[in-house]
Amino acid sequence: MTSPDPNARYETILQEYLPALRRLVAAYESDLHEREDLLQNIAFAIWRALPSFRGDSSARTFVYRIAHNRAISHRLTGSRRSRLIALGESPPDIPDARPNAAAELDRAELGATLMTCVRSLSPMLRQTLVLSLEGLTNPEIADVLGVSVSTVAVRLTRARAAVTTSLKMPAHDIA
Amino acid sequence: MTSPNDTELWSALSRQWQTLARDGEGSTIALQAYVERHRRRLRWLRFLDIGVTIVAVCACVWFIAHDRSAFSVLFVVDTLAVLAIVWTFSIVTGRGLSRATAASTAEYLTLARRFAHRRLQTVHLALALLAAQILVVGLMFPAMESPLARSFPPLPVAGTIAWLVWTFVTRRRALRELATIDALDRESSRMK
Repeated sequence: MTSPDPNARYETILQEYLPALRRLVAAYESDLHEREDLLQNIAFAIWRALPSFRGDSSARTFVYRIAHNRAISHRLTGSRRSRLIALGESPPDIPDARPNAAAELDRAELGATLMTCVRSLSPMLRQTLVLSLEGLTNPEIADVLGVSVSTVAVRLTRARAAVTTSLKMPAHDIA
Repeated sequence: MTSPNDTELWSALSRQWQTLARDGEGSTIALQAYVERHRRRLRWLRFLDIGVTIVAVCACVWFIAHDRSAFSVLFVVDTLAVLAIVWTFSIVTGRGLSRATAASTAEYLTLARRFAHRRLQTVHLALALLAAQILVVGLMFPAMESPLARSFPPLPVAGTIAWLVWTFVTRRRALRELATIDALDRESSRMK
């Protein structure tokens, strides 16, 4: 993160966080074209905000903060296409390009089911749960969202309860 | 049914989540190309704003130099007044918004509200300018003898309709955004 070349710094950040950004985008948009639009918006917003990033927070929280804010913005100004999908069209799912996909069918199905459950959450719960699934700690999530750690805990409990109910499967099937 | 706070379950789900899109399609090259294209587009749009203003001012100068009729004077005064109002509005309401960033989602919602309100203000200004233009045309042009004033081409009518449609669409969009922000704020405060 101390690279003097801003383009190299940007490329490093993009490369490191692209998979996480793709998951985040998929959690907000089920339509493939909308996902690409949102991903491009996020990439541009990161590039634009990068000169003001002085390392006060970690690069991870910096990227997630921008990405989630852009995702909210995308929903605010959402196209007719995404609104139609939100109203109940059958959404195409995030592609899984891993090799030996057949061998990992169960796990892939679980991933797809998890994504569908996450998408069904309200925006605030979804935002909190996605950050948690990405491995951020509660204080880091609180930093990204601008809320207290106790609020994060409340939201996580509710989001997890909702997803667990939707998944309706015992823990040993997953672990 | 497991407890929602089951650490083992959520660690497993988190691991599962992080395998999604791990080797997903696309690369950073396409994204960087998009960013570069978008940067160029924004730069051109900025030049376009300034360019249109310069062209309009030059046209006013040329117009008044070639035709000193009451119509020309009115046309030039009207055009310059509209340009001055639009630029002043743009600078005053845009202060602090052009490169605004938010430190958190909570701050971002406040910023989004400011953007939506600014859009509504723009609509109100656009309607006020249109009303002023119609007033100017209605009151002044019938008394003028300029052939241009007398011919009254269909362009102003089409322009007025396009203007009205734009204000209607923009207003509806801004109100929808504000409603969504309100809903997000309500949801956020319910879970504090």
